[in-house]
Amino acid sequence: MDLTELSDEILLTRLLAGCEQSFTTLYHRHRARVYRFALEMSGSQIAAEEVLQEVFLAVLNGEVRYDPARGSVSALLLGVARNHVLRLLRHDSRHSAAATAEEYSGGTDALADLTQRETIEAVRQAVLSLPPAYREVIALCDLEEMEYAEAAEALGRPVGTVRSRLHRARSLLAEKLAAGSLAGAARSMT
Amino acid sequence: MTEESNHEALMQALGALRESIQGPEAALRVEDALLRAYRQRYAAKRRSWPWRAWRVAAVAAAVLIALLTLIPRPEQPVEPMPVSAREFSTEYMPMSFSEPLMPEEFVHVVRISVPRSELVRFGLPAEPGAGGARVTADVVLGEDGVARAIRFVR
Repeated sequence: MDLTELSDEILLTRLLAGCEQSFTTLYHRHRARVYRFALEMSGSQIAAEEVLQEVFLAVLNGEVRYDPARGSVSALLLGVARNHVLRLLRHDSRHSAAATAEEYSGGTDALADLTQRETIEAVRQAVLSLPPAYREVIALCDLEEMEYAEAAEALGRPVGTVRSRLHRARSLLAEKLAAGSLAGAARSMT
Repeated sequence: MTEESNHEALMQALGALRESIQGPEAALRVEDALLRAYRQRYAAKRRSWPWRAWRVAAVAAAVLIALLTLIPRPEQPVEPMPVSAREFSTEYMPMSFSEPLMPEEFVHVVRISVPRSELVRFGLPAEPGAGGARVTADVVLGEDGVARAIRFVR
């Protein structure tokens, strides 16, 4: 039976009733975004995998309460991931934001140009140097391209707060990157 | 550089970062660990013994009859009702205390006879003074033998 057309809400109900296929369908549908968000927040593949596992353990254990009136399942999972990431960053120095580039090297086939890689690394480090409250809005809105409303659901904050934090986060990033001559590197990429 | 060009450069750089992070994926060991945890938790809930289903259904039907006949009355045996060429029935109504059926779940339908006064429990009209008159009902039993839905047949 093909479950890929079922909604997240139905998959949640079914997996809690013992349908393994529903669990794997839900996991495959959302794992990439949850993993990327955790990676963007922590800068560590190890931490991102740990967060991904914790999120879906919470799902299968019935610890994740979904309320359709409060938003999408995707936003809910990202909210759970956020809580785990923030806890990791506070308590575990293994997953500090100062991860090396070797630990995070995706899409290298598209990054043959050294200048481009250096620019991307500079942006990555700049994002990781932001306070978590600004880092997460950059991760959700600019890197995951979520709408303000969905990002607000994931963060449990008003839309206005997300907008203002994003504006401030981008200003901070622009200052950091301008100091590192980002503009020249960006022009070299076009 | 102007503020606008700084912003443009920033968005371009963020776009490049976004493209670069499409590649990494979580290791398969994460999925393996999750599946192990899932199977450990839900193994006890699985019902996969169809060869026991009829025995379970018989027990469940007896339990259902007992539940539906709470009003003390002289015991009457459940009489199998003859199949009529023309039957009219209500829609199946879910039993309020049961869990929903899974689409692929193996089910049984058991036909029973219940007091007409039981129609009231499901929001259906019963003639005043129906008393001892009986009505035919089809009951849907899940794999675990628990009644999931009922319809009344005329």
